[in-house]
Amino acid sequence: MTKDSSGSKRDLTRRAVFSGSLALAGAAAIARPNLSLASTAAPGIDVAKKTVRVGAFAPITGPVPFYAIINRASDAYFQELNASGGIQGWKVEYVVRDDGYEPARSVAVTQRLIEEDQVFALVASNGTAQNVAVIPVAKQHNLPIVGPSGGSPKLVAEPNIFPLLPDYALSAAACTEYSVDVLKKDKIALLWENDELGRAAKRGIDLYLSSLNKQTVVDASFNVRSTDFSAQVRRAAEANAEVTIIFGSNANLASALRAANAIGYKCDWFAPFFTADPSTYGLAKDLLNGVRFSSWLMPVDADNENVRRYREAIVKHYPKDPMGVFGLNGWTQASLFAAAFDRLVSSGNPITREGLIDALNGMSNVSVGASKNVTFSKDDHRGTRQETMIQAQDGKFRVVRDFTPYPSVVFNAKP
Amino acid sequence: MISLLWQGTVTGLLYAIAAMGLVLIFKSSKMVNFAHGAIAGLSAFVVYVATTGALGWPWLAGVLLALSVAVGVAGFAYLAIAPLLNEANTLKDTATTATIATLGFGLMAEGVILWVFGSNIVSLDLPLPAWSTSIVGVRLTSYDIAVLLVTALVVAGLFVLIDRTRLGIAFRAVSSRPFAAAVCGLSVKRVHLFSWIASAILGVVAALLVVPTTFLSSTTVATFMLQAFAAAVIGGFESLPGSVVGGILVGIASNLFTFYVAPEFINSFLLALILMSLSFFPGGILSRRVGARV
Amino acid sequence: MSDGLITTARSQREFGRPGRLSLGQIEVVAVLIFAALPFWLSNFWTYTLSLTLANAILILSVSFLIRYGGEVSIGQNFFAAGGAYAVAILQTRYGIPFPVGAMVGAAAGVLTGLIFSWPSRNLSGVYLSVATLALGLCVPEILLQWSSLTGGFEGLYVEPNLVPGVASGVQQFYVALAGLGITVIALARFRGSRFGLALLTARYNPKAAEAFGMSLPHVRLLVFAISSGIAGFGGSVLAFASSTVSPNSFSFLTSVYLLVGAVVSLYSTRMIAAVVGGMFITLVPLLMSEYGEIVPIIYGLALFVVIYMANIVVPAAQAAIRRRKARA
Repeated sequence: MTKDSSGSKRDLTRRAVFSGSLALAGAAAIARPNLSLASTAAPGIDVAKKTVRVGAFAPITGPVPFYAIINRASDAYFQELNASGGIQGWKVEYVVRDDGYEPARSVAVTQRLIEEDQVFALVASNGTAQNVAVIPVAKQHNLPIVGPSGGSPKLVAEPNIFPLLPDYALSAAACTEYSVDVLKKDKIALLWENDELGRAAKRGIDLYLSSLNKQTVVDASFNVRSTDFSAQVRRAAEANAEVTIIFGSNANLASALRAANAIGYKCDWFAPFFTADPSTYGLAKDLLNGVRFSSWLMPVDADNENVRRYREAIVKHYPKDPMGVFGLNGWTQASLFAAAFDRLVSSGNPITREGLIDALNGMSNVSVGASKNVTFSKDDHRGTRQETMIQAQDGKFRVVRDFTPYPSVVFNAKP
Repeated sequence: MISLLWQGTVTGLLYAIAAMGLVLIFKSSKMVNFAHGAIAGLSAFVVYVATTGALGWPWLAGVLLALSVAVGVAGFAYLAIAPLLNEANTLKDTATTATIATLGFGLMAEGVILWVFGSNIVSLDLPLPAWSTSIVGVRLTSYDIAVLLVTALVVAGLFVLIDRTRLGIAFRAVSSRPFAAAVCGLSVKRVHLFSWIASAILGVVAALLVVPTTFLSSTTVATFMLQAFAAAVIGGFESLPGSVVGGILVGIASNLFTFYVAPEFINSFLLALILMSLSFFPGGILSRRVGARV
Repeated sequence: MSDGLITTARSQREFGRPGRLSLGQIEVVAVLIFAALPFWLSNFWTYTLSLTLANAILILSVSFLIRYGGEVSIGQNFFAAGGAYAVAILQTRYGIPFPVGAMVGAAAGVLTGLIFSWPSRNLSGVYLSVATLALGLCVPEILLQWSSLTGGFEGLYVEPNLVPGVASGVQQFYVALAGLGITVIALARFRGSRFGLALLTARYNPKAAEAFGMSLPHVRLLVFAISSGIAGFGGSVLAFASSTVSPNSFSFLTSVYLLVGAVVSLYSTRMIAAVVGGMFITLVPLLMSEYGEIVPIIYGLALFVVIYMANIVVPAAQAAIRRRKARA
């Protein structure tokens, strides 16, 4: 996004503020912001100026403000894209609005994006419950949701939603498969965060192990804002677990590593992809070395063209944001939209929401952003089907296994 | 089992320090300070910013700065709230109003943390040597020793202050008979201010001790305060020794619950603990007489 | 608050006098204007106002508790979640329509409120407040544990299907408006009733109340149960008005924001006041979305400024005016 288009985004908001105060007075009819474009074009599409407007809701405030890093990285992607000529000359405007991580507000924000901002699609809209909550509204307008930052079978099932973020059950199963098949270790302890992330991971691991007639030796949960892991880690130690899989935040991982270090417990550790992040080194220091991560994204420090462009762009556009997996995630989700829109323009079909959905459904084994082999079809919206194994080594994240399909027992299991 | 008890005790001592801060304010002014955690968290961030990055101050200097920030903020908060409390003798509800006002201060402090320091999670350690030893199967680290020593110092310091100094005598007078104390010419305001400042210092101490295990984000210290509240309630909310016992009990009970029952229900467990303590020990765990706390 | 000190005699006098009519008329006009808003507004604003109205009911539950009980609760999200999930679960699992769900929600609020406040019935407000803090914090873990029923983190979708054929946004708005109307009327009638007056007596003249044979612990329980019942009902309406329930909508922070709303509405149980409070907590985050981080600061400041104005500035000004009148 260039300087003036970000200015126009401000104007939009100001207009909304203005209509807000009118509503407060409760006395006036509100003229909807007149963004009318060429009469036949789809919402958010300006054929004359060759611009496409997309939007997202993001938790800029509330309990998890750091998730908004994802959407700022998406914005950085679009700014870079526009600066380098756009998508076959099309420029992208990206409108991000705060929902405080409250699903009811996500619905309100989505209606606002549809009615006032007239967005063409949502890109990298943030949060699982939040995306699920807007399904009815999005369906009503046939609004494509491209790369929602949330993983749920409910999202995968919708014809207009195209998620990249895999079900955590799959990542967790990949970790389990790696430790059983590659490391030859099957005494596995699972520490799971009591939320959608941890519960999904537990489902995947249990499913995979039960297919081998095995089970975890320790199954302990912890709360989202857990502080003290000494009890959970002690349980893993007393069960002589050779492998500990922990599905929680990077602070949880670091706390657990410290607790293990404090009691002198050693094992192989696995953690979710978003903890393969430089900030985790900041918290856990050397204790992080050796920890493995099953990831649908290449490492942040990978020597890859797309990932390097992300690193350069984030420093340029959002120097205050940390360079890490959250950002790479948002960058990749935005790349997915750009790739799909590119196919839509190339196809010569009319630029409509239906057209975008068709273009996405035609994507097969495409590499977008930091992900590889993304595939969508009309009946199957599980975009990510493979993950790579990353290991923390001497302050860096190294690929120790290339992109490999998910264990099929879990991938093909009914949700 | 022994090591679980030991770990629980160490964590419990941290709850106790934080709880004593809450109790000090409640004793002197009959109100609850819901901003306790947020102010302590803010100060911990001050230490982080002062000791890392561009500033790179020595740790002690950072702590001194944080203490002065905490004292400043708490003093300011009290002076702002004081007019609400002043009528405490005539109006019944002013303590309620003042309590709500502290929630406002808590929101502001959390907002300032978010605004100034952002939403990152950072690590802030104590400058301790990496030392540990094992006694009868219990692993003892330099961190545990530090917690023990600091708690002992804090408790001794408070005891001397309250029992042996003029300020302490005034504090006791105001907390047991505010009206009589005022009639005798004691400055109730000064005693209140003393309790707010002492409470803020305790909050900073607790925050700096707890952050090495939890890391520091805009919410960690405030989250940790639920246990401190539970400790204070179990101790009777009016008793400093009670809150030490309460803190240790909460620490051990939470640890055992996490280990043997279901860690995902820790908040519900604390709720049950609070409700049970209110039912069975309405005067606090150390109180012999059972009566209403009104 | 300034009018937190109404003596029983005064409130009786106010109720006996028809001098309030003008304010009531304003209120009627305001409600009529409000009721017509969906014809002008976009879906987005209609939806936002529906949330505002539902939040106003929740704010009333906090205001009622402060006004009649002198207690501060920061665990109202618990009761609101109960009401909301009652509606959602009954609708999605058993196809039971919203009005029944809302009644169940209100009843669940009363019941859980009674159970919760029982242990602290003999104790002063501080202990209750701290217990509500714990109550507010344990909501998510309870909802997540029974995720097969509650839909876990994703929550449940509540279909606005009360009147077939009517646009869902319109249904949501009028249900929220009706819900608020019912609550306000019920509270006004309650206040004028013998029972309500008895509660106010207990609040502002506890010794007199005891002399009349009222049991203060029972009064405390009752006030809390009514408040939690309103919260349950408000949660039910919020579920319908927002068409979504999930743990994120009923976090501990929700309770703190409701308290902010109650303070901004001066703990009043009037419709206009509750709507102003609801607007404050619904619209401020919306309008300030460009400057997300400072919303908590605005909330905190607003809380403080309102409390200050109501308790210090206004009484001082009134005293000054009275003095001047006396001199003249």
